[in-house]
Amino acid sequence: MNNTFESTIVDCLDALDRGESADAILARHPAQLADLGPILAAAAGLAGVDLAPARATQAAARRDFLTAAAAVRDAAPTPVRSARPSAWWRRRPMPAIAGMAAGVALVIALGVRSGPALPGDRLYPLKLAVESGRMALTWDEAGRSALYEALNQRRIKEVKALIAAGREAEVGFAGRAEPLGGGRWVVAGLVVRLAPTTQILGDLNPGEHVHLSGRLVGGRLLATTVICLDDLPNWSPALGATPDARGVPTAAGAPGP
Amino acid sequence: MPEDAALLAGARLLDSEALATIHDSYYPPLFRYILLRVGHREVAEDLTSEVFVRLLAALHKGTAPQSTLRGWLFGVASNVVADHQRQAYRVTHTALDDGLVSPGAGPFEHIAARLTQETLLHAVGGLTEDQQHVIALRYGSELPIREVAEALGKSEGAVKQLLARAVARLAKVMQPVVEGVGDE
Repeated sequence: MNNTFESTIVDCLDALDRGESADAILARHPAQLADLGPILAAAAGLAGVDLAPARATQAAARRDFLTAAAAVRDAAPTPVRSARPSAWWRRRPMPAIAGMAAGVALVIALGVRSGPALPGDRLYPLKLAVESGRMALTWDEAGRSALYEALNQRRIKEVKALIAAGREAEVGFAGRAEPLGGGRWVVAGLVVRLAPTTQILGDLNPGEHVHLSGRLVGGRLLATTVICLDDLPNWSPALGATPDARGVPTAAGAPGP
Repeated sequence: MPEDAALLAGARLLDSEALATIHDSYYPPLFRYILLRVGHREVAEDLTSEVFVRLLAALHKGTAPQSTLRGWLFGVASNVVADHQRQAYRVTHTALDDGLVSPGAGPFEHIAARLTQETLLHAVGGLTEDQQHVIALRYGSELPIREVAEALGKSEGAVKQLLARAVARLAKVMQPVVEGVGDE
């Protein structure tokens, strides 16, 4: 392509952008009609082609995006505790200690009562609240890490119990993921099905440590969100893991792009 | 487009309203850009969603842009398309030079009437990566020349030149299709 003709094309495309008709533009270049015609046709075709996304598809993508954002938000680290006790602590230590003792006793009592509850049971939210309380009262990192692991094992046992009982429920737990093929993975010993709609945050590779949220339907576990924890360089159970609103142990870090 | 900086401030807090606004504002132009690059709607839908997953990950890791969301998103879209094309190269490149279309082409209306969406999308797949990129930004995302130039880090003149060559080559790629239809 010589420079003169290239400049002519640039001028013609500018004219198209300004809203001139192709016929009017071509009329100014009668000697180059045969060469410019297909080029302007291509440009006009590009400008006029319908490339809009389907409204339903965009809406579904939006819903999935916001659901994934909520999952990540739930995985956010808990606020750092103040190193200094609040003023009323120092002014009235005895009532504070008594109140805390009563709270701990209540937590223990409720914990015992709600211990066997499964997702979907009336007492299950209470069980999660008790677990949250235990996590909040566990100050050292090693203790939090151990408690996180214990609670995660509890979540996995609950899923197994739900499957055995043929019940449907929203569940979540963490574990190593290994591929089975056909869209199926094994996570923490449980077979999980990944659908095209499953949100995968990070690169899901064999052996990846993941946190999985999903739904039990007809004895099958369908993943809705998979967060790849190995992609979270700053993540550690001791620092950030805590039961979220659903009582699911979650991560504090971020999945890589 | 809404103010990126204000939206990003909300997005960094994973605020649902800010994230929804970002999705509503940028999904259509990103989809059009990607569709022009890959030529297949379902693939474009998947890849557009992947761009937003990467945004979410970047927001959570603190690596998201501070003020220029649009450029960042289209950069990610370009990378996502490149990753996809590395995995499954969609078209066989036709060995074409940058020469002009044959002088036997018919009048404008005759050819334009035969340009279907499929023909165009398929033909774009026959361009070089740079040419696809500039066409997708200009005609897919409907960015003005100035913003295409910013996105590519080139002058407006250089972008116009690149675009002229890309459209000329596109016309040449489409020529056999158009002539085939015209011979019927």
